[in-house]
This record gives sequence, C-alpha cells and structure tokens, in this order.
Amino acid sequence: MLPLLGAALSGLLAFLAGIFEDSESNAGSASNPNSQVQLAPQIGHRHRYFNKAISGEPPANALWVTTAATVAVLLSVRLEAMGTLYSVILSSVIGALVSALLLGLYGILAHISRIASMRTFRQPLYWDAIFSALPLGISFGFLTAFSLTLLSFTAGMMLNNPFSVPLIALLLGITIGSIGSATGDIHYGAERLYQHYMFGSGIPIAKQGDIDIKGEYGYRNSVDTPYFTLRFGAMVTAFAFGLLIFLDSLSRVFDFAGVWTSVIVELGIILIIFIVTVRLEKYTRDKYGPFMR
Amino acid sequence: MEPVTAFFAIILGGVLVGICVHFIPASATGAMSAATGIATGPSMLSAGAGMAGLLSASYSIDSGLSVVLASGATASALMVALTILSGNIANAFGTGVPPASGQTASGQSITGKSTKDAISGWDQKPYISPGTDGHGMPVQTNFSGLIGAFIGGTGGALVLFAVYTLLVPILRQDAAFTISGFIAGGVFLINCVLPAYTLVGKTEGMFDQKIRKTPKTLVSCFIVSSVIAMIIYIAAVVIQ
Amino acid sequence: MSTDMKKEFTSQELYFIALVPGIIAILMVKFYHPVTPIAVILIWPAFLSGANAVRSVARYGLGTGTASIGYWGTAVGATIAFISQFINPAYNFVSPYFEILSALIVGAVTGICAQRIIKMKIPVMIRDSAILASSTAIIAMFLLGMLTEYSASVTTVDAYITYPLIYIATTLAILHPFNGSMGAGENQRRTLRLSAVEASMTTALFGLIALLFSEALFFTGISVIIVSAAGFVIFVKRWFSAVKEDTYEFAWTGYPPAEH
Repeated sequence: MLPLLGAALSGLLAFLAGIFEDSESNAGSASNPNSQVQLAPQIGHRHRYFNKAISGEPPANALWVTTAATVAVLLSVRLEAMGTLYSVILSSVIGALVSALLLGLYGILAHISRIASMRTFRQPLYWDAIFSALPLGISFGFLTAFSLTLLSFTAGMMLNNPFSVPLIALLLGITIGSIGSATGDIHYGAERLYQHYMFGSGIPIAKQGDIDIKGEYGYRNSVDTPYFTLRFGAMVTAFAFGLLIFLDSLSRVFDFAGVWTSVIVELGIILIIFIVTVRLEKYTRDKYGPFMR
Repeated sequence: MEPVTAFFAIILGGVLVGICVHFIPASATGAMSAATGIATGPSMLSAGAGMAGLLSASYSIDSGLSVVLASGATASALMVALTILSGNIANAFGTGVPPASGQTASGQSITGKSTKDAISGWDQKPYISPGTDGHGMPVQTNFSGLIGAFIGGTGGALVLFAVYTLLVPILRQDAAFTISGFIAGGVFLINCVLPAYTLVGKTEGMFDQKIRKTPKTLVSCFIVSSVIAMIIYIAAVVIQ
Repeated sequence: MSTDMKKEFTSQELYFIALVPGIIAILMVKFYHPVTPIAVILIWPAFLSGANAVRSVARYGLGTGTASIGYWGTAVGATIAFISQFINPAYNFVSPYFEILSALIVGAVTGICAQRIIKMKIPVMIRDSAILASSTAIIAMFLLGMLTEYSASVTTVDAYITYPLIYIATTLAILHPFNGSMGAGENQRRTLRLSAVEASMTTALFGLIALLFSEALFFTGISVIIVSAAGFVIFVKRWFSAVKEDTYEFAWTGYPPAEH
C-alpha cells in the first residue's frame, strides 16, 4: 500500500512542480526563448519584458530545489520533536522561502545587468518591468522549490531511495529544468513571443528577435506571460515531468519478475509512448497537410 | 567488482555518456520551432536524462550490476520518450506544425539524397516551414533519441555502480550511496559537455552528418575520463 | 579588489590573486577555525577568477551555453574536492594541494582535448579551462572545510548532505556573472563586480547552512553571514555605480520610445 501511495503522491507533486516551473521560467523569460528577448533591442524593439536569464533552466532549478532541500533537511533534524510529518512540511516551507529569496536576488541582478549591456541599442531600464514581474516569478519559484522538496522527501522516506534528500533534489532539479526548457518553452518561444505571426508555422530564423511587444492592452510585460502559457505550455511540462516521476515510481510497485519488474514495465511504457508519438506525427501530418503560404 | 575493473568501468561509463549526446536530438532554436530536435541544448538535455537514469538506478543498486544498468537505461529512455512526446504535443497544438526533419528535407542527412524519413518513409520536405530548419521530432530522430538515452543511462549507471563498489569498503553504506551518486553525476556532467563542443549546439541524432564526428568525442571523453578515473582510483584505493 | 582600473585583468593575474589567498583561507579554516569570517573574505577572489575564466572562454561562442561551461567547470572542481573527502585521514596533509592541482590537470586536459582533438580554435581554451576548474576546486575545498573540519565530532547530520548544494551554488555563482551581463555592452569591470556580489551572496548562504548544520558552528555561521552581508552591501553599491554608467536610461515606467 505504502509504495502505491508514495507513487501517487510523488506523481501529484511532480505534476504541480511542472506547472510552477514552467510558469516561473516564462515569467522571467528564462532559458531558450531568452535569446529572442535579448535580440529584440538589436532590431529596434525596445521591450518591457523581465529578462531574467539566470542561467539555463537545469542549473537554476537545481539551485532553487537543492537550497530548499538542504535547508529543509538540516531544519527538520532540529524540529524532530514536532513529529516527522510536521517537521518535514514546516522546514520545507522555510527552505523554499530561502530559495525564493535567492531567486529574487539573482533575478534582479540578472535583469539590471543585462539591460545595462543593451546601451548600444538604446534599451531603457524600466523599474516597474522588474518589480511587477518579480513577485510573480518568486512565488512560482517558491512553489516549485516547495513541491520538489516535498517530492524529494517522499522519494527518500516513502519510496526508500538510498540517496540523501538534497542529492535527490539536485537530480530532480536538473531533470525538471531540462524537461521544462524542452517542452513548455516551445509554447512561449514559438507562440507567445510571436503572436503577431500566423499560427501554424515555425519562426523563420531571419525573423528571430522580431518579438511581439504589444500586450492585450498597452505594452506587454512579463506578468502577462504565465497568464497565457499556464493554459498549455505549463500543462505539457507538467504532463511530461509528472508522468516521468509517476511511471518510474509505479514501475516499482509491481512484483512479477523479481528485480527485473521495473525494467520490464518501463520498457513496455517506452514502447507505448513511442507508438503514441508516431501516431501523433501521422495525425498532424494528415490534419495540417504540407506547408502552404 | 574488483577495484581495477571499477577503474575501467568508470572510463567506459564516461565514454558512453559522451557518445549518448551525439544520438539525442537537441537544438536550442527548437524552442522557436525553428530547428529539428528537442528544444534545449544537447548537453543540458543529456544531463537531464542522465540524472533521471541515476535516480532510478539508485533504487536497485543492491540487486547487481545488470539490473542497475538496465534501470538507468530505461529511466533515461523514459525521460527522453516523454520529453519527445510532450515536445511534439507542444509543437502540434501550441505552434501548429507537424514534426519534420530539416536536414533530411534538404537531402543532407546521412541516408543520402532522399528527403524521406529513414524509418517511417514519410516525406519531410513539404512539411517544413520556409526559413526554418525543421521542427519537432519526427520518427527517425525519436528513435535515435531513445538509443542515445539507453546508451547514456547505461553509462551513468555504470559509473554509479563502479564508484559505489570502490567506496563501500571504506565508508558507511548510506554515505557511500550518496557520495557515489554525486560522483556519478559529476562524471556525467563533465563528459556531456565535451560532445557539445563537437556538435556546436545542435544535432538531429544518428541521421545527422555530425554523427561522423563521434570518434573525436570518443577519444576526448576517453582521455578526460581516464584522468578522472585515475584520481578516483588514487583517492579510494591507492592512498587508503 | 580594485576592479575600477581601465585595463582588463588577465586570467593569470586573477588566478594568482585567487590561488594564494584561497589556499591561505583553506588552511585558516583547517587549522584555526575561529578565523573563518576573515577567511571568507579571502575566498571571494576565487569566485572572481572563476567568473572571469567563464567569461573569457564563453566570449568565443563555444557552441554550448554559458551554463554548460559553468557546470562543467564546477563538476570538475567540486567532484575532485569531494573525492578527496574519503582519502585516509593519515594523508590529510596533501589537501588542499592535491585537489587544486588535480582540478588544474583535468581542466587543462579537457582544454587540450577541445583544442587538439575537437579543433575548436579558441586560443585561451586550455588556460581558462584549467583556471576555471581549479578556481571551483578552491571554492569547494573552502566551503567543505568551513562546514566539516571543526564540527566533525559534534555534528548531528553527515557532511555529505551538503555536497549537492556546494556544487550547484558554486556553479551558479561562477557562471551567472557573465551569463547575467551578456550583451553588446558587456565589460569585464561590471562582470567582475557582479561576480563579487554573487560571491558574497553564496558565502552568506553557506553561513546559513553552517548555522543550521551544527551547534558548534553557530557563531561561525552568524559571523559569516554578517561579514558576507557587509560585503554584499559594499559590492552592490560598486556594481550599481558601474550599472549607472553603462545603462542607456533609467525610467520608473513608460512606453518604449519610437514605437508609439
């Protein structure tokens, strides 16, 4: 019973973490689409985006999550008298707060420094572009760190992973960062930043940097971005990461072939996913047809 | 596993990690649906897949080498398979483009002048948005990505198991688990950046012309892994 | 750290001012732990040296992100620092020289591979790869020493749970100054000043970790946080004065010019 419960809980936490992670990166224009925001002033689009660019998503998320998890582990030892569950949850909140503070500091430093490097292209530094988007990014970062810290504790305590909790957090942080930048970013980079281009086409390399700087009303700032990407991009990220953690945990619940059970189950799942991906490709090819001008 | 075998296992693991990066399709401009491959840098994506593999391999570390290797490989492949599926969903419904290989469409892939997908046989050329280098992950890159993830996950798990066998005699068991996990992660991160130098930030996997440059990566990773393995071996075995 | 000179520092100069104080700082925490707050100041140049190495390598367009070169360098330095933690205590005298030299060798070997086998044609590849890896080894050895050397007998949790944080926090502090300042107007002065800000942020974080890590490190943790906070205030002021010179225009709010 406990492994199944652990698998379900970790799946849920991973799903939530996926949503928050993608929203956090989009609220700060982090990761790959950042190059577009960076290019925009060079072709004459002075923008009001929050250009956070702390680093690629994997190391950045790994830092938030590992900070939260390390502080949480050290604190939970101190708070042991409160009982395991309470001490874990309370110390995870405090750990996530520390990492949110760190995220805020790195975010401010990164934005100001990047805009300062845009002097040649006459890009002004708008203070409200930072300070309206920053709390949103910090809160999403807090939620990411919190859910992943709880997920690391779940893996370490309920699923009996032999690694220590901060190491699990580091591995999970790098994994969620690479999934987030590989899936959710497409919705931000190819659709949200280029909404004035027609739907149904990749962004030609010659057009890169020609981003949409007008919003639903007025000029667009980064607060508007998660509002858009939460509906699809964040969900796709959550789908990938949540399913990865859930299926990986679930494959260890069964036992029909001894130690090889999880490997056999995962191979079956990979085959199914491969078939689904091929069918999806066939569907899009039939449905959309060849490219038409 | 004997200490000397473990020494060679660390080198082999490092080389496998290096090779895996060549097989996993990745390109940063994929995030703008402007290039074929998973929408992030090759080394970043391989690192993510490798870490997922290490996490999964750690569960079965007491069940013997073959199970550890298989768990690492399948978990990495599961991560890449899910990322490819989700990336294609994001391309199909977020951007509205079908997956298509840019290099195959321009007749420059390793299969020759054919513009058809090497596995499914579907023509790639008409589906490319003009001005882009393809988008999404068509069947051939998907297949190649899975192979790459299997190789990389095996390499990561091999390093994990080898370092673990070196550390178990000299440390407490829980410390040995975590430290070997960390060192395996470190060896993975060191080796997955070298191929990125060869790939210059973009690859379509094993049907890309850049696969021909794999020997360069192989030699580089072999040299670097040997030095690292020697340092681990000196610290864990020689001066004990 | 007089970073306001007009001419650029070379990597070797920065590495030299990182290496000597870095080794002194490591030996200080190793043999006389109460001076840790002073040693923290001596370790900051190592962050500058690492950030400068990332800058000089990444400026050439590596074909991989700045983030990748940052985590590669720290992976070399930190992994070797952690490997050294399980060598027999009887050989303790080889530390930290063994780690710093090993990191230098691995970095140089990687640089040679990139230069000779992959043929990258980046003139500074070998030198700066070695400096990058070695600087991160200095930082990792210092942070490890700060947390473990003194408290080993009185701690309630094991030191190895902090390894991941040491690794990833160093990574970000090394790669972020260049990555965060990237753009046409990037210059070494501002990048290094940003690096100093982030170095003090990172040591403050480890002050907090030390505080929580062991009862015996309570005062060490508090004093490290205070020293780092003081450094943070000073460095932020210096960095912001550079930003004021470099930025085109400050505005509280407004519309981008010429497009409405």
